[in-house]
Amino acid sequence: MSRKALFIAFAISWAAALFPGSGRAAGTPYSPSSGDFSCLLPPGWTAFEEEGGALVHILGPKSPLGDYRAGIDIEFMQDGGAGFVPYKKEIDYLRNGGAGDHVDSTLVQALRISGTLGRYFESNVIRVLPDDRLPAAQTTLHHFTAFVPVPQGQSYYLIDLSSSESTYLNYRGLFMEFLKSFRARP
Amino acid sequence: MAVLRGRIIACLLAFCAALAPLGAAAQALSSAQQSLLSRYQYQIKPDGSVWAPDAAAPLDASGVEAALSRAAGAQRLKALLQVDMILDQSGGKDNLTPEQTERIKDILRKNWTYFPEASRADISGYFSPEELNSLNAEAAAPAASQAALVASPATVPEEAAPDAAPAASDSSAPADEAAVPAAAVPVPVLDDSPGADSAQNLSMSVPAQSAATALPAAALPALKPSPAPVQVPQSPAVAASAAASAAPVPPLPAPKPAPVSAPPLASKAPSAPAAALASPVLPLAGALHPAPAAPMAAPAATVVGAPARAVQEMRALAAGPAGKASLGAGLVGFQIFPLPLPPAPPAVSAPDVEKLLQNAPYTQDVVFLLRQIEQKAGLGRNRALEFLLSQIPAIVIAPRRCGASARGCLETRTDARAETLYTVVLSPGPLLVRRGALWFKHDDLIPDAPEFYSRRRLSAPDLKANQGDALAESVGDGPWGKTSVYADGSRRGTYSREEMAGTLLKELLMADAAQESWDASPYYAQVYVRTAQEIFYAREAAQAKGDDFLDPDARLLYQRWENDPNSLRDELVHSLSATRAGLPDFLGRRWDIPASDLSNPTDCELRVSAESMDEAKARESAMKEDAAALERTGLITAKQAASADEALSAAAASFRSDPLPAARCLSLQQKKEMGRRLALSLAGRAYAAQRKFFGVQK
Repeated sequence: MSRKALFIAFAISWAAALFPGSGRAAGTPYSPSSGDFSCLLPPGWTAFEEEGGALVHILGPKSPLGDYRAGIDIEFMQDGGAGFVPYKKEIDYLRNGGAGDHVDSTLVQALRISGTLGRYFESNVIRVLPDDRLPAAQTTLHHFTAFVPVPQGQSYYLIDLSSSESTYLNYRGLFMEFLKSFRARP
Repeated sequence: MAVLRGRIIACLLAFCAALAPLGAAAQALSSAQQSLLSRYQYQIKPDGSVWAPDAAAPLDASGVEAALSRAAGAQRLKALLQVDMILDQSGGKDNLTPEQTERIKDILRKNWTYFPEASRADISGYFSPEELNSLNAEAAAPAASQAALVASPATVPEEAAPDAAPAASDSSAPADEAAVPAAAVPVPVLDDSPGADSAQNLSMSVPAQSAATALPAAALPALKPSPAPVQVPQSPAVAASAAASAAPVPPLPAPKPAPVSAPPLASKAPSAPAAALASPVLPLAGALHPAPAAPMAAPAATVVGAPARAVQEMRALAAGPAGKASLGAGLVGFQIFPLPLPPAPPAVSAPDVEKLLQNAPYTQDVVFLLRQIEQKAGLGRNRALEFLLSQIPAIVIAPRRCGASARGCLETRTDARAETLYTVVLSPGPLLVRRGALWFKHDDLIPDAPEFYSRRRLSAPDLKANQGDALAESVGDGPWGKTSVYADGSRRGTYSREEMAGTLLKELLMADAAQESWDASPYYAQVYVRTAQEIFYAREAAQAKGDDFLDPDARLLYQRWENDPNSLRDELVHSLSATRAGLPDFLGRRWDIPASDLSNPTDCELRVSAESMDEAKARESAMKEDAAALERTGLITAKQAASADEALSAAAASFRSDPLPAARCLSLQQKKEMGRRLALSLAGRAYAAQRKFFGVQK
């Protein structure tokens, strides 16, 4: 191998190391027991599921303040299921909050997720944290919320990354990578 | 009912103690005794020899006697469990229907022979004097037969079951062939079909000295049954959760890399017991557990379909001092995992609650709160009220008592009789400190209990709102209710009575969780408790036509739950897994120990010791974070926070976990494991209740 080829190979591997998101997504393959979807867990994050996979929590590192742990929650909203809310209504609520809520949110944007046209937006919600423990202080939680419709009916996946506002930028790229790896079962 | 429970305990103890060789001479077997032995898979050869199932050699005289005693004890226990199950279904003896009464009489009649006279006196209320005379006359037979059928009084310690001590003291009522015809009582068959009568699902397996018991100890764990499925009727969600409880728990936040995929919860529920269930007769426990080689070998009974109280008593046997005293080293192998979870508590009637409220020493405010719970609580109502009626905990509304808890807390203490006494403390309102400037002012919630500061090696900040005798400068309504403002800027808010009722519901349920050990899984316990609380608030909000009675954060959570019920679970996951929750494992997974591990006391001690250290570290971390949070409010200096940090580290370094006695260690593990499963089951019930609630609402 010529010296030039070696140099190119080194440059490529160096670039791949510098920009891990630019190549093949890193992470651990994960799928709930139902097999309804698959994704790549961010390195070091762990998942557990409830209700046979209808609700999955993927937990990240502990927050520096110790009052809220960053994580991704995946919920399958079954069309016609008890308590089902159409995704437009859900988006509207999550972006604006209820009466007396302090919610700031970005515009809803389109994003291709799992081969379908998904939606996502960001929002800040003011909370008193930690929950039911003292001392508690007003804290801004940042939510990065994505909606992934499934082809049949109005069912959709609600994928939400929540973290404290002070750390959410650490997870932004990671969440985009996660969404890219998300595949709903057709 | 209490007497009956005592009898069950006595039977259990006698049954367990009967494992020891009796040492009496073998007797000629009557046909009733032969029938009894056959029922438990003993074989009686034409030459009169008795063979245990799969045994290579016949039993000797003492073995036959012990087998008879075990079989009789099992029969007694089974009868009592059947009766208790019917009583559970009816809600008590006074509510029995004629059909249920007849079923109880039939059960008792068929097993009358196996009850000593003292026990008969307690269950004689179901029969008329004529029937009693007839039963007793039929049971009057040679005392020698009864001696083989009834455990020796010496094997039943009085302290284990004071009201049941006479259970084994009678030796005058012998077995009667006519009372127990061979065909009258079918061979116990487990029927786990959905429509099967639960009272008929009981099946006792009798430990036998069989060839299987001679298996090498190393091979035995593999033969132990996996956790059994729930036998009580349940909703699909509950069943799924219960099944999940026996499955490996999905990955937990841990230093290890994440697994490729989480173990399935519902779809791959363990099927290990299926083979045993499919068998027409339960496998003998002797084939599943170490052989009772030592005189005090393990009472390896396997009970399927036992009613709640029996389960509780068995758990008490395994955990309490009575069980320890009576079983001693035998407790090491005591296997209770196949026990089903207790069913939901019976409905508590409004008159019962009203009677208590009129007589119990509660203030008018507390009575109001309890009435709110009685009238409006849905999920958790019966469990909370059942705890209230059975324990009558002290309930007070008082500031400065709840440490790090914002709205309410549970205090426990042990009295001279080693009984746990519960006190529910409700905070009347939060202690607030306003921070920020201009339009960015906000209130921080500050602990008001002196104990909070002393435990963190801090001195409490001098806030007028936290001094009982300080006068407020002004009082007005604010986001935290009616708020008193003091000269130094500190404030004291007020929780509404409706919100306090929800807090009381939560604390009563947490008290029940502590008592029943289902707080072993903090997350699933909170899922149940908080769902119950939100459903209660939803009913309050429907009546009040709004949720203004909630404080700002509780209202936000309530509204999110109302919009998407599962968001509550997200919230709990993120909160309970954070450092300040002080939990080393919010799922309680550390108790998910394979049954095979329970036979190893050394592992148990090491595990418990390591877990105690983990818990201490988690508490230390949480307290350090509390101090840091307090520093961010400006109420303590950085130097004070650093000093507290140092003191807490020193205290943690000196923490030592006292080793537990082996038997206590194992029973603790079993208790925790049962509690964790119950928590999972309750989370399933919460999910089902939530679906039902929103199915109606939306």
